[in-house]
Amino acid sequence: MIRSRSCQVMEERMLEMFFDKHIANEEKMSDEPEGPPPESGQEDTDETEQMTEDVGRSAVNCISLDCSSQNPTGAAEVSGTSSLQQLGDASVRSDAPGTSAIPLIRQQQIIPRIRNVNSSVKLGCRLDLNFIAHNTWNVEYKKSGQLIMRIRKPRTTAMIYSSGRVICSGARSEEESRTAARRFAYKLMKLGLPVSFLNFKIQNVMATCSSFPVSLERLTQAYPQHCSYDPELFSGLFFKGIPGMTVNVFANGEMAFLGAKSTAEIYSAIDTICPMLSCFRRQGGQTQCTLTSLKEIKHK
Amino acid sequence: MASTSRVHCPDHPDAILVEDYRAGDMICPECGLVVGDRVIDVGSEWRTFSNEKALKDPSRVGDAQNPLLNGGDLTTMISKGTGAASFDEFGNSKYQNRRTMSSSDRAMLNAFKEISTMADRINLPRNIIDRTNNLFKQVYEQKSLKGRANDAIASACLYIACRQEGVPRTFKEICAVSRISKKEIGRCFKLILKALETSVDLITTGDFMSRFCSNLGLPKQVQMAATFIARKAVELDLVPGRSPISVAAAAIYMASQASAEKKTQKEIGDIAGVADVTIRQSYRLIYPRAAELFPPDFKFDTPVDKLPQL
Repeated sequence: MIRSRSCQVMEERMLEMFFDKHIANEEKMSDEPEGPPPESGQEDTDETEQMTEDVGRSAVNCISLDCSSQNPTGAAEVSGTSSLQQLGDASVRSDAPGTSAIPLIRQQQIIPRIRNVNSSVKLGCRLDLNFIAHNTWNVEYKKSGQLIMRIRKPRTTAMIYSSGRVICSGARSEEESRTAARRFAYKLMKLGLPVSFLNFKIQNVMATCSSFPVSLERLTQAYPQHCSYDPELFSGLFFKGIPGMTVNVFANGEMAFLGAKSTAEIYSAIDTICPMLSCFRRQGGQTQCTLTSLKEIKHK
Repeated sequence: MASTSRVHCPDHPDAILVEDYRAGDMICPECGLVVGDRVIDVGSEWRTFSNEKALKDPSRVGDAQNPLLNGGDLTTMISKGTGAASFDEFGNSKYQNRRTMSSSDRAMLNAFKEISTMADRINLPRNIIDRTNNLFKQVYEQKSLKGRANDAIASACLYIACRQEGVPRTFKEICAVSRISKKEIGRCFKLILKALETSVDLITTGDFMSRFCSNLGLPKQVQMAATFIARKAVELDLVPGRSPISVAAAAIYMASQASAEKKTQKEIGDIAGVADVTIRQSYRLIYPRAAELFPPDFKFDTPVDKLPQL
């Protein structure tokens, strides 16, 4: 049966809108004029990434002002949270349950970059993985009971289980994760399975950020009950002072936040950690000194 | 052991009594009065028997008492019977339970044997072995690491004991005498610290100097210079984020290259368990300030500006 391309595209869009409206419970999404909403979502995150990089550079310069005494950080914290609330009120797209507003500007603070968001959703029906594997092109069906599906648009991977549970990983923000999970559910709906979109939950948000060089030895001596540092095993220090989260702190100031449940948790963790780390700041001038002198020696 | 609090010399109540093992007496050192006699000797059997082919072992005592075992080894065992009455109609011996040692004791004994073998390979003294045994017993009784291989727990206990005694061994050195991988030992190490709720001090460069230098055959002067260089480098913060072992290896390289006994990076890397590129990286960081790092009284065989530049 020959169908025109435009007819197919129309049907697709109608299906998607049906999915969004009734299954994924996204009333706001159906108001979007053209194309799937995630594109605008991605632009948003790209914008925020650019802005974060610019502000990040200026933030690093401001750090010396910031972390030298407690009061400025206190003021900045207050301003940070209030800006969060303002953005939360004014935001158009990010009121969906389970996501939090990402503040676009974080004055005089260290900006984290979210690397990975893991989420899970229940589709509410048992899935025949064999059927899905045979009728979809981008799946791996290695283990029994687990199917791995990948999509390109938000570049993510889903582990689909026969109980109807889907675990979506690889997204770069909470909204992207939600969009990706919806995309997976939509793909399964297209195969004719009676899916619904229940209990979407962000399980894990992983972010990295860059701060000032830190003396890990002094940090371990000061907080032995929270820090785990073995230079033989791993060059980073595991800081487990914040309940439910682990922070990997490296000597050059890079930090990796693991185990957070939302972006807001990551921001609050940074607000807790950075003032504390500023006590253990390394006098970083030495390293630069040696590099230039090495160059001089080579020129001779 | 007879407690000296119960018996004391009537004339000198504060004097600590001396035991005379040969006669089994307790003697007051002040006046020479024999206060107690026929004291039971709990030391080891002093008679040795060279006739190993004899079926009967005339030694009257068993092994030395091991306080770490449950019941302190005071168990009763039924030995093999000799007369006709000890065999039933089929020719099997009645009372077959010769060795009823509890299984947990057996596992612990195996582990102690393994620890002793490992420690013997790297010539560790008795106090470290005792400490390791104690740690193992604590971990074993807690049962929080029950699923892990006993050998892995034993190796990790050995590592912790060395560190607690102030003479740390690198993970690679423990790996060399154990069949467990470094990863597994590292995992067990972290789990044990969590289970026993202890922590260990950070390793420093000076902990390894004497061992590495003597393994390389470097003289005392070079060893002292290397220790000084490494300490100074860490103080001046020239090597942020580098493992202390890499810094120690680079310091040894610099000190040996400045002296008459020059060692290559590969040799030092083999002894220290670091790759020679790692030594090169750390050396590049300390090279620019080499003149400040050497101790003031060091005799240079090769002057500082002629040190190799990598």
